[in-house]
Amino acid sequence: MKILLFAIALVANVSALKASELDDKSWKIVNYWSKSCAPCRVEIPEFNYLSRALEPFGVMVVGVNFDEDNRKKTLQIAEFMDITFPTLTSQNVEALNLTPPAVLPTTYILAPDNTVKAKLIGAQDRQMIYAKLAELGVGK
Amino acid sequence: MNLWPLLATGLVILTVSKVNAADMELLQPPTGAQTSLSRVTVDAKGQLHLSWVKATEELNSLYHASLTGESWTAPKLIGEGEDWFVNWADFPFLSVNDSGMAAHWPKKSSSGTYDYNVAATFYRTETRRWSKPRIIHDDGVSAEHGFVSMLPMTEGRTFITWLDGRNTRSDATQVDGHASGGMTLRAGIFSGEGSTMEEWELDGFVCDCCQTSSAMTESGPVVVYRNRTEDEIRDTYITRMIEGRWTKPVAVHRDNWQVAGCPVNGPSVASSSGLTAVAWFTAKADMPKVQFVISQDDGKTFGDPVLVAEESTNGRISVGILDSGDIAISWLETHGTAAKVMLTRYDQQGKLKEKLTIAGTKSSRRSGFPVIASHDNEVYVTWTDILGEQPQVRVARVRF
Repeated sequence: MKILLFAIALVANVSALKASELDDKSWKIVNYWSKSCAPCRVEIPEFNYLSRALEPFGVMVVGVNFDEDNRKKTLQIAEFMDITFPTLTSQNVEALNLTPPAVLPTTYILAPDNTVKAKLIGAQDRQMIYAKLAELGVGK
Repeated sequence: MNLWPLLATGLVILTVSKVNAADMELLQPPTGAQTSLSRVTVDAKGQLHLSWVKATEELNSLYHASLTGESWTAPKLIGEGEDWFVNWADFPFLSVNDSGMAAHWPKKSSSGTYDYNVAATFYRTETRRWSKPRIIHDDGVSAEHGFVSMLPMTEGRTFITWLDGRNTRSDATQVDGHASGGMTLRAGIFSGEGSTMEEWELDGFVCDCCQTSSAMTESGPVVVYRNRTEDEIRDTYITRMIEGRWTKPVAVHRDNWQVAGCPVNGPSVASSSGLTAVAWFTAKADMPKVQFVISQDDGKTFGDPVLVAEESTNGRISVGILDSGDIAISWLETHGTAAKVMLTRYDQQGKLKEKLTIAGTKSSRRSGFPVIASHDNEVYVTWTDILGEQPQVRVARVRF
């Protein structure tokens, strides 16, 4: 399963997660982005890096297009923004039962049972995410 | 009861319902499917004007129609293009003055960038033609320019304010996505032909992604916007033009909402007969609220904030003032993915008089920002309904 998810992450700009793949044993970092949000664009490379670095530790990085464009347009924008982690479908987001954030960028950290363990507002970098994961005891 | 299937009847007024002391009518706008990003405005003669965008895969088209008596005029194309940067929060504005109209849309600077400009076109009643669109700012910098508001002025002039990212390209050092210069707030007065008559920088460091709003008080124009301080306090500020000079911007109320991000939720201001009201969204401590303040001195000072909604709201507010002096505020009430377009009415002391549900919609960004306009003691509300994948502009009229 991990190999499959890793492969998905590498080709995320043209792929989608199946709802069932969100029900696994992974912690999830859910990053809301928008093409018109400057700080979102700054943190994207950090999440690209984290998606590769954290996958072996059972942590998935996934994205949500805050603007809710249709799937085709969302994937075009994700590609344009060089997002290499999976972008969730509206069905994926609905399954996670997340409240759309009031501020961009916002990143949620979800436990394997999809409960929200952290809500991070503003641009994040890898050190900030590592620190929050450590605080949550992820990877211990 | 879902009234929207009745649209097929072709009636201008779909239904009239009595809600508290108000009559609410659902109007049938001449917009059609795949339409969104609508605005309403009422001109000095009391005529309602509606603008909206029809979007296809490649093309965005901006249309206008007005309500004459109980009939809509045929939709008229204002402009269209394949290079617009419209989105649910930053979308075209229409303003109607004594001898014409002005409209704008965000136009990409070039393909392959996030940069866009404010393109505006101007309509003269005597020629019945829209001018060739022009970029209203002359900085020539490829950056973000948008979140426009417009005000009609006398002699066919239009006051326009916008967020201007020219300084965000002045320094290669980026901090949280913003260059050290930061986003600026600018404004100008434009002639009926669209030439720049005056232009100012109103604030050199503001929030990047929130709508601006402006109103004409008895003392002159005022502009409200979401400010940004060095320590990331993003409260609602106002600046006023007094005897040709802009006042130092001040907070209408100090929420002290510290947030290193974009709320994408700008304030709204309205003014009439010496009364000025400013409504805004805030979410300090992750607690969403809609509030408003009232000024009896054209925005120089404000009373204490009045709470309109909290917890179950994602803001997206619009404000208007009735001839009675009552204040109308629209906002979205949210419950998960569902939402309601709400309209509340207050007296001049901030006492709640009525709270109406205009319609159900989605809390989705695709439902956009409802906009209201008032005339006499009527309030017109426009919003986007989402029917499956089909956005559809709606309009309602509430008579108080």
